[in-house]
Amino acid sequence: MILAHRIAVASPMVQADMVEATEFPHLTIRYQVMGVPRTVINESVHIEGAVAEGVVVEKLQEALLEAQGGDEGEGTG
Amino acid sequence: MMSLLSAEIAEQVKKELADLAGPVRLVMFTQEIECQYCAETRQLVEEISELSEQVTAEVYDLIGDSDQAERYGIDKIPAIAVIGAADYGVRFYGLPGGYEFASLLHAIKLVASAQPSLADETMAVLAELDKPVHIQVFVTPTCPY
Amino acid sequence: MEMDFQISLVAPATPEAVADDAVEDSDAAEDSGADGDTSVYDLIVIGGGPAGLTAALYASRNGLDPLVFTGHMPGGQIANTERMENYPGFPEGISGPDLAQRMVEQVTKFGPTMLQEGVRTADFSVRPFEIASSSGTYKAHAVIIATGSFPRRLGIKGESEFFGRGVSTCATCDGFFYRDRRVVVIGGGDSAIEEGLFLTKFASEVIVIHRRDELRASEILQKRAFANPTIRFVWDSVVDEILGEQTVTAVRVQNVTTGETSLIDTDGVFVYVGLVPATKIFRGQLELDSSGYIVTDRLLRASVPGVYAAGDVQSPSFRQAVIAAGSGAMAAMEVDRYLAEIADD
Repeated sequence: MILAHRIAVASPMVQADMVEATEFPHLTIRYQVMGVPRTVINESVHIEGAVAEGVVVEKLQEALLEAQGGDEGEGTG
Repeated sequence: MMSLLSAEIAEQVKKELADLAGPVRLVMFTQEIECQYCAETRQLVEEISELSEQVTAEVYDLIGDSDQAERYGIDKIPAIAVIGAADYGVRFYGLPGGYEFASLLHAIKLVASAQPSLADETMAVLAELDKPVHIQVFVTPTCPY
Repeated sequence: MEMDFQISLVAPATPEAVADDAVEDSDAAEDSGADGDTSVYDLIVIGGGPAGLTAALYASRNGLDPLVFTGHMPGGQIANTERMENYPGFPEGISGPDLAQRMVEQVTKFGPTMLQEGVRTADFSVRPFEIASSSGTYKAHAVIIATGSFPRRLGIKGESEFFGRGVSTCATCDGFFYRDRRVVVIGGGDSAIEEGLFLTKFASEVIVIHRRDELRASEILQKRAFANPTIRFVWDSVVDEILGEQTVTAVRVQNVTTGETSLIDTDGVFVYVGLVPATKIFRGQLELDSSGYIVTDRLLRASVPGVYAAGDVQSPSFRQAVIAAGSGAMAAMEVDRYLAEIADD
């Protein structure tokens, strides 16, 4: 089953969409989808291909840090 | 209209959904003049709902039922929100055909049980989340990965 | 767009399970914590391709109640084969995923325990053998390894960087994204040509780059490829770098006879340069040949008694679904004999 969906069930903060790329061409262009599966977290972080749970968690943290960096500037990490 | 699920497949789906841990709502969004995939997606959730006592299908119009669309955060169609005891944020956009049909069945079982079976380390990271996270997974129905 | 509604009850690979296959992931072998199952199975089958599924089918029909790890991609390599025309019994041909699903259904009828998980570790130094997956550790008196193989990477610059952004190993997954674009296919075997032909449905031009001056692909595929106006060939050439910015823009090609290099503009690169066996977790426990394939005798017995290997993981020479299925059946029949023998002791 889709790992993203399991993460969504585990956390009230997470929403996980499975998107049929062939039916939403504007999204495949916006997110530059040229291969599947491609995972996009908070618009900013991308994961190519199927990866292990640990990698998704890492990327999730990366996405949050990026957001934080934007809000609060340097030196908070 | 012809069934999307053959009798044989329907039988297997019935078995798969036989011991769901709780009720599941498949909240589907379409529009008045249905696109091909919208019509098929609606038919699919309706057919699935007939195969389990625990599964119900609700169909809304993206424009006409904008309050519902807002409630479930739906911005494109066809869409399915898979809702268990709570709305866990599990969504499908587009017709879940091919390999993704199995993903839909898994999602139904997942929200029914609310058991994500993730590693302890993952759960620890998720517990710390204080901002909303939106994960979009792009797939094609022909991809086994 | 016309498209028949097709569904598969076989789930796509879970990301976790891909790593579970432990063929590329070096730190997959962590303790899962769970105990799995305290019972001892007669047989554990590792693999969900034609070899593993046929082994499971035969073993179940022989009353063995095997435990089957179908791994991340039930169907194995056939699950991403667009059309199979050489599997007996299907005069019109059959799609790989369809065939895979039929195999899964057929096995399921005979009731073995099937887990859609990969295996993390295998311990053949203890009896019964211990096989660990993400859900726990399982024990069995005999094991059939049918883990198959996965696509070989070229190992050139740009290949990893642009994976998913122009570089692909799955035309059936990603072909759609190359509508009216130019793609190159690297390789000259059956997979390269089959997938190249499939890509002509979408791409405006398909350029097949092959290191030799003739194809290894079967005669009938060659004929079709040569007759297809969308396919062009670049012979005697290897790709030594994949270039791009956000996504792939070109490949650098070297002619192996003249040494000349040139750039070919392209949006996509599909790599079909053969397969490597998925045997990493068995290294050090079983005899492997220099390429990593499991060495067996004529009866598919691996170097540890009670361990058998079937399909692509044991034999690189044929790589045909029908042969994998046949060897799965052989292994299951041998296991039956083996179990009867150890029961007598």
